[in-house]
Amino acid sequence: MNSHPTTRPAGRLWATACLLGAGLLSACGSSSDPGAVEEGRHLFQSKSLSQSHLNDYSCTTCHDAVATVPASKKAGGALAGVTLRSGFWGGQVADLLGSINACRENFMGDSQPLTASNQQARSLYAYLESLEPGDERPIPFTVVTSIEPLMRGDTPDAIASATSHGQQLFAEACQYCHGGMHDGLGRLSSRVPILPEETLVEHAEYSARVQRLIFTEKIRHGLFLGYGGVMPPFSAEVLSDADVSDLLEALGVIGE
Amino acid sequence: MSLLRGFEKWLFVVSALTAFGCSGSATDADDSGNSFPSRRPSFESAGRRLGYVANRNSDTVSVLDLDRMTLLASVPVGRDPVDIDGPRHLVLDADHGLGYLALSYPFASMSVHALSQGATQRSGYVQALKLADLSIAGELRVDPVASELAFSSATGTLAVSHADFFRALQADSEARRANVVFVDPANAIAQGVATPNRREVCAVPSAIAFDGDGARLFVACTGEDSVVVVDRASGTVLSRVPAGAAEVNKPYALVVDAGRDRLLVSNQVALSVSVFDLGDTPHLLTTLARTSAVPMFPVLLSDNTLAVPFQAPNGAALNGAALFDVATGERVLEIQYSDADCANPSEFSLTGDSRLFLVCEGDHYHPGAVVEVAPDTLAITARVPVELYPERMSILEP
Repeated sequence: MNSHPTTRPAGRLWATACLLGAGLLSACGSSSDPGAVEEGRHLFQSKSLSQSHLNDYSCTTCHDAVATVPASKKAGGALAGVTLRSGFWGGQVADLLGSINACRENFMGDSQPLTASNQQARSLYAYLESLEPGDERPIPFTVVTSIEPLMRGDTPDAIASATSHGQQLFAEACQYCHGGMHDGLGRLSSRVPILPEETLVEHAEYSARVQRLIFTEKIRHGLFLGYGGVMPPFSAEVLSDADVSDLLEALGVIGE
Repeated sequence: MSLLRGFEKWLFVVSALTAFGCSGSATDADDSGNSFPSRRPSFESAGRRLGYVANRNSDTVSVLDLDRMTLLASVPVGRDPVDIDGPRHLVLDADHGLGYLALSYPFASMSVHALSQGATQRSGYVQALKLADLSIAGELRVDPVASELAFSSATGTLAVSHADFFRALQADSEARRANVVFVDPANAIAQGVATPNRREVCAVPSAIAFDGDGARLFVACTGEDSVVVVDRASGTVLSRVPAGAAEVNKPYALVVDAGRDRLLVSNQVALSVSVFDLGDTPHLLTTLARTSAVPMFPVLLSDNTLAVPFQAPNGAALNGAALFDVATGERVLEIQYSDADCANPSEFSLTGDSRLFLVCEGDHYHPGAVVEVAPDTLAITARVPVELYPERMSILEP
């Protein structure tokens, strides 16, 4: 007896066809693959996007998944919408994967670029695509290259207000990496300096006025423009000059 | 029953086709399926004459349709998302669909902090870009201040000069000399297997050009007031000759017209163009009459007519161009341009159908332009703005 059935109910055939088709489509389309989305979410939130053992960053260190109101003080823009954008890093990078690789190389210590066919890249893209619809407009990102001395308040009330605002900004923009002000509690790693003390010690040979310029430059330039390290630059859109001045007021880096 | 068997066959065929399409996208390294779809502009030639211009101060390459005198796009280039990469010059390797771009990193850090930590000049890079969309196919690290490029389609060799003024400050004359890097074959950059072959040539090597068969490289040596001829195969210097007849010439721009056996060298201090033959030891044939300002990259319009752009980088706002009789060295026509029309003219290019184009640098802080000029009058007939500080244009003929 032939064990292979010669007939099969049509309903079962259709069901088989649908299941097979769905499975194949799922395997083809990373965006519709829950496994890929979940793996991409894990990559987004963990340090494993870089193979460097010195990496302390994940994507979430600098980016929110979805834009918040009021806008987050993270150095990078929110990523919902990113798969539809045509420009990155203030227009200096033309494609999304190049932008991701720039982050991996500069901040995460992994200079081996992901290619579009890499499984990690495909999963990350699936997750980013799952965030749509978002804002597809390129995010303004103005790096302040020329550093000028920042004005301080000239009355006790103005200084108190600046200090209070600066403490709030520190919590929003700095604490995630540097930990608590003065104690570093919860900082990303021991490689991240406790602010302001460890940075002031590293630059003890400079005058107070130059130390204030150095803090300003580091906030504005991050690792770029000759500085080194792994810190991202804070653009003029994320922190205004007044914001930076208030941060320095809260840190006690007043240039005197 | 036969209907159901037919359905099974149909199901098999559909499944197989679907699976084939799926595995095809998953295994092709250049096709990522539906992840990271390219949103770059594409530049299919489609019978058009395209111009490629590197914009030094805005980290972009502008692509122009020279037939319609329109800007197709300005695309960000470089390796660094923040610092100025300083793309200086792009040359075309049409056979491989590639352009080679020099990244010069012109700005040393001005930070007091960085300077105190011993920050120094960054190495230059040459990137291989796919001409179809200017995406990066590969890159090669070379020396600091990667400046001008020359590509020989005859040999497939790329040469890179390094106009290293910091090195030229050395007291020892030998130590002042910077390298020219040869990359042979150049398309190995795109394959990630290129090796830079460094040859110490002279102090501040600036513009470079191969002869027609790619056997020799001619180098304008700004820091030694000379023209140097290098044998490509061995890398040896064949000769060093003065860049002109003046006591001080200061060569910068250099152009080879292989068909006419002519080497044209523009001298920034002598304010003249020296016309040599293309011998192993170039022989000075003519020194043209002084230009009204600093001569840049000229072009021979015929055996006897040379078009020379000139500019006054000291802010004198003297922009213009002139035609010279090569046999007598006399100027036969001069025209001046307004800043709005063409600030700091830098390079003339002649197309295969004898149209004449001129790159205008602008003031380096506002957009420059590419203009078309009438070969007989040098009057501007069309203008396309590009981005910040263009200097040279490479033309992809249809």
